[in-house]
Amino acid sequence: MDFNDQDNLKLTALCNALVDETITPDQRHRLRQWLCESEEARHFYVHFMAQDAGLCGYAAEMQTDPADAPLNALPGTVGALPDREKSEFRRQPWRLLLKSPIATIRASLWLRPAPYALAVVLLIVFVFSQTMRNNSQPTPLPDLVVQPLQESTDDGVAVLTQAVGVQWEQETQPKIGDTIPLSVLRMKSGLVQIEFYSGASILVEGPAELEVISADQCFCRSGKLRVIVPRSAQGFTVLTPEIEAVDLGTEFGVEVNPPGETQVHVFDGKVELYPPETERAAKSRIELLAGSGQHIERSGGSYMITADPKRFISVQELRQRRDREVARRDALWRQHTQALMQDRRVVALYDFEKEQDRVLHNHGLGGCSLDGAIVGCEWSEGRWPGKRALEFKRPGDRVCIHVPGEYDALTLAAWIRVDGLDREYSSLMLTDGWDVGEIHWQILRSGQLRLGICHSELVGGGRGLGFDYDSPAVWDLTLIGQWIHVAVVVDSASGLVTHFANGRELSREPLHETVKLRVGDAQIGNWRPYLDSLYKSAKGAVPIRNFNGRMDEFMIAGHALTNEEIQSLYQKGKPALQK
Amino acid sequence: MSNNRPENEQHKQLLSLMLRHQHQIFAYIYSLVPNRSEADDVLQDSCVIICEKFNQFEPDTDFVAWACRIAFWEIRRVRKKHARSKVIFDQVVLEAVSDTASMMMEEIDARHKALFHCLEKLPLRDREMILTRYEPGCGVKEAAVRSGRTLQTTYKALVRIRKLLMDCVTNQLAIEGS
Repeated sequence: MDFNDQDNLKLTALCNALVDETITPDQRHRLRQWLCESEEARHFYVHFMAQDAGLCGYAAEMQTDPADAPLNALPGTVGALPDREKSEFRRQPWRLLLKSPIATIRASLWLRPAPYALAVVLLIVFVFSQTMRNNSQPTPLPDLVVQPLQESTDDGVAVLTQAVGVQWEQETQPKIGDTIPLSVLRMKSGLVQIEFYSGASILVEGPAELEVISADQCFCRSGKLRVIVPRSAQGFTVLTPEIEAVDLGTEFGVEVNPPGETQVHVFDGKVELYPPETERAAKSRIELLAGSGQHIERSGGSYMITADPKRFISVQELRQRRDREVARRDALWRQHTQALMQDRRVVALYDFEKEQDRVLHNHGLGGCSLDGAIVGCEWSEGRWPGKRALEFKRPGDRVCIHVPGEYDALTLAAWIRVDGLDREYSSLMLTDGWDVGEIHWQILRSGQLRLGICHSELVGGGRGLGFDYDSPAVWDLTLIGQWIHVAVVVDSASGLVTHFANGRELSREPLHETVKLRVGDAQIGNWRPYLDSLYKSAKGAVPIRNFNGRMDEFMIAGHALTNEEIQSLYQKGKPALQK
Repeated sequence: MSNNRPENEQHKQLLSLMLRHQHQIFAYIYSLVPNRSEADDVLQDSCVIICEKFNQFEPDTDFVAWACRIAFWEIRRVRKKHARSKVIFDQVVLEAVSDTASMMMEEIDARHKALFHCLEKLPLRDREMILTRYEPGCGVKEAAVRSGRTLQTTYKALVRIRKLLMDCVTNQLAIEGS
């Protein structure tokens, strides 16, 4: 549409009617048409409206005289306002502004009067003061940086080193690798191995109830234990309702049956028994040597028995049982992976299994053209013995992939073991570029998951404008070294970005802008920004964002998987099977 | 995409950026939401998001473009909430005007500065009319009453003064440019 003087006059009349609020529906319709059809009309319109905005600001500034009030109040004082006023301020900054002497500071703050400058200043001060206040409250999860002044503390006295078919009868469900603080452990069934910080270790057979009292003491209320005490841990004590067993040798068994009777079997070395509340007096002591045992009744009476090693599970048996479980675990996972390979929504599926070359094989729909190139990373052990994984350690370690196509929805999922969040950003998968629709999936130092999406190009060139969708913090120190399933779903249809950890939804946030999502050239576990981008520092270097840990499965689906499907990915892939 | 600036430093940076650029951000919002009080609300709500997300802003990139993008999202959110709102355009117009306005931010900045120069040159009677018309809580009616004109002649006077200012700003920039 051409834009002549006549048009200029007509459009001016429409704009005047718009700002003076006399515009008729018919005029509004005509204005809309102008704005849709003519760039020149839009240009004129924006100038007109910007001038009107300027006039609003001019009049507001001229309304109050800066000389009326003292200049002693500064914006920082908003934080000290009573709560009632703060909330009023949040709703209606103007009202408070009019009451406040702070209004007068504007004269000292800027040369040209600007519309609403003060409301905005106050708002910034207010929002920041809120943020600071929130930040000053204790956060539930520690920062994962090593801070010399705030040394992290460990309230554990033992570590859970094996668990086979365990069913816990308690809210906390310790997993292999977890530290065990002073606590009561209740098992319905299964086997666990616990290594105490003193060096002693116990094998527990469920059902059992055990209280961890210190690094060299535990109380067995019920169940069967095999206790292995190396020389360094001599003096390790097992208490039962009937007896106190002090180990002076290397290996013994303790069984507390449901009526509360205790049996102690010594397999190797020497054990001293003391009845409770005798304070280990020499005259009440019973000494047991290898091959012998003692049965202690609830009444306190006791008699000698012969030690029976077969009654108690041995380390070898535990290993065999574990191997059988791992085989079962592995088979189930392979079956599940086969099913995923048939799923036409899965574009890329890296199972990290074939180790013979430097190629990460894709088993998804995209076939071998989506195979990844392994750079630097070394092969190591994955979620269970025999499962292969890649270890990302050094700044160069990465897997380069190329995933073509544009998607309305994407699901990214991975099994990872984070060994440390020593960088500001730890990459999970980042596209090399930052063009519209490209995504950056990473972990922040705070332990939060972040998905950044580039939503639009910056007018006039330069880096695209993106938005970061963050989850609450997932990692704290106790999760370092643990295998965790992470996933994120971006869905244009529902307009949501949803983060998951171990199958559980962590957060969902509205998608700011719908774009066609793209992966293209990308790096798993690292970042390779295009060098013409603004990321380059003055020295020509790019920031290091490598992942520190292991990964043993990675999936990209061109659809939004449901919460149930994400939960199923976790359940079918989690390291320890439960009965 | 964020950076790692100390909170205090961020606070200062944000204040200085907002003081410098908020008239552009407000002009952008007002051209998409041509109603003063609704545009005010959008500015305030956008400002809350800008504060909260400021750690994601890369220093030395275009703050106005970044802030306007947030304002645009906010306008769309508000539009969804009041889909039949009279004052907010439909999606097609929103996007078209937003694209044009985004490219005009530097021009708007320059014209904003020139506008104050031109206001000072206005005859006193005209300047008073503008002040009353645009004073918060007032409007065309108050301007008519205080200037002793009829409503119709007030409308006409406003049209004339706006045109005068528009031309003055254009001339002013032409002089500065040459």
